[in-house]
Amino acid sequence: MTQAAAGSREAFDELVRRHRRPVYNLVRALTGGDGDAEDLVQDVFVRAFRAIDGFRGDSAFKSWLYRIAVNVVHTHLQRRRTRESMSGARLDAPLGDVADGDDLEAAVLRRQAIERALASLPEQLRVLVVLRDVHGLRYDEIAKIVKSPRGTVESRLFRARQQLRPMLEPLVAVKSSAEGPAGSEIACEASSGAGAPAGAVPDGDRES
Amino acid sequence: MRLVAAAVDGGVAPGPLDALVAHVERCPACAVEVETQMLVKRVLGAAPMLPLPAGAAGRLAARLDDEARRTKRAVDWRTLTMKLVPVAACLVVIAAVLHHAIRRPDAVEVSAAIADWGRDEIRALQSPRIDHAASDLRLIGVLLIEADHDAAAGKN
Repeated sequence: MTQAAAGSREAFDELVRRHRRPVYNLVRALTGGDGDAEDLVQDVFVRAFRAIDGFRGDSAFKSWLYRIAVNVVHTHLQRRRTRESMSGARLDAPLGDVADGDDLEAAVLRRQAIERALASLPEQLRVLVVLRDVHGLRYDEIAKIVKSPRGTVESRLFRARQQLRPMLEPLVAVKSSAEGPAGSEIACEASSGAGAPAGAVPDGDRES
Repeated sequence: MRLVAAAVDGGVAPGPLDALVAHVERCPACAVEVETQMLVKRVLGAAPMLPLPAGAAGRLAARLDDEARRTKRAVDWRTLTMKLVPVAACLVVIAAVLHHAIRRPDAVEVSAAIADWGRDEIRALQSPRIDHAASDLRLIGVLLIEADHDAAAGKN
């Protein structure tokens, strides 16, 4: 990392080799399997290349790179929304590596189902759940990337997972043992003032 | 509710976590929420990581090569400019030294001419018919010129 920041092309290429696949999957997840994912990945690494000498190591390289990716995707999605609103029609995002019938690998099918579910979320929630649950970033890292307080990240993550459950449940082999959908009509006794568990959330987070 | 999300991610201290667990055990609604959080986290955490499309790695490398070439042209220009600054400084110093060195012989030649004139004056001062007050001043001037000439001769 130090060598890359000092201008070593070989060191930067090694970082690219290490992170290009996760970044590609991150971009796909954030864009709902957009066919432009590959171009966006290139944009991410070009921006990283231009900015690498300014990387001071005050965060992990992965966090820094993912912040760039989130910003690149955000710009892309804004442009896409603008195009859609101007054309008056929703441009369906192609599903990228879709192939015909029988030769689809189960992994690709599963991934695409997950990406479709993620695409149903508002961008703000999608970014959080992808960074946390797919890529395992810590809360403090996510808070820096999205420039929101940690408490906001936790609340939004909770909501995002609530919204995803109905779409992801079919992918789970084991049936849910709890009756009732998420956010059911059964109210929590704590919300009626019966005594909610209280606790300070420590700063440290489990690293994936 | 954000406590539930944090708890599922292992971000709650043991004490509050025990209280949460105790609550969840007697609250069906919260039990559902916890299960929702865990289910989604589990599914997404196990999401397969797709490989890059065929040829994408090569295209990415080519784009970075283009970027590196574009950046290198800019850097070379700056590097060249930085290298020229000390060269320019050396040239200025050399020019100043040469200018000073070139002037000195003229000063010596002038000094020698004045010294010759000075010696003529000395002979004139030795004449008994000279005005002594004026001759004192002229003597001092001659002595100064002689000293200057000696100094120039000594350096050469």
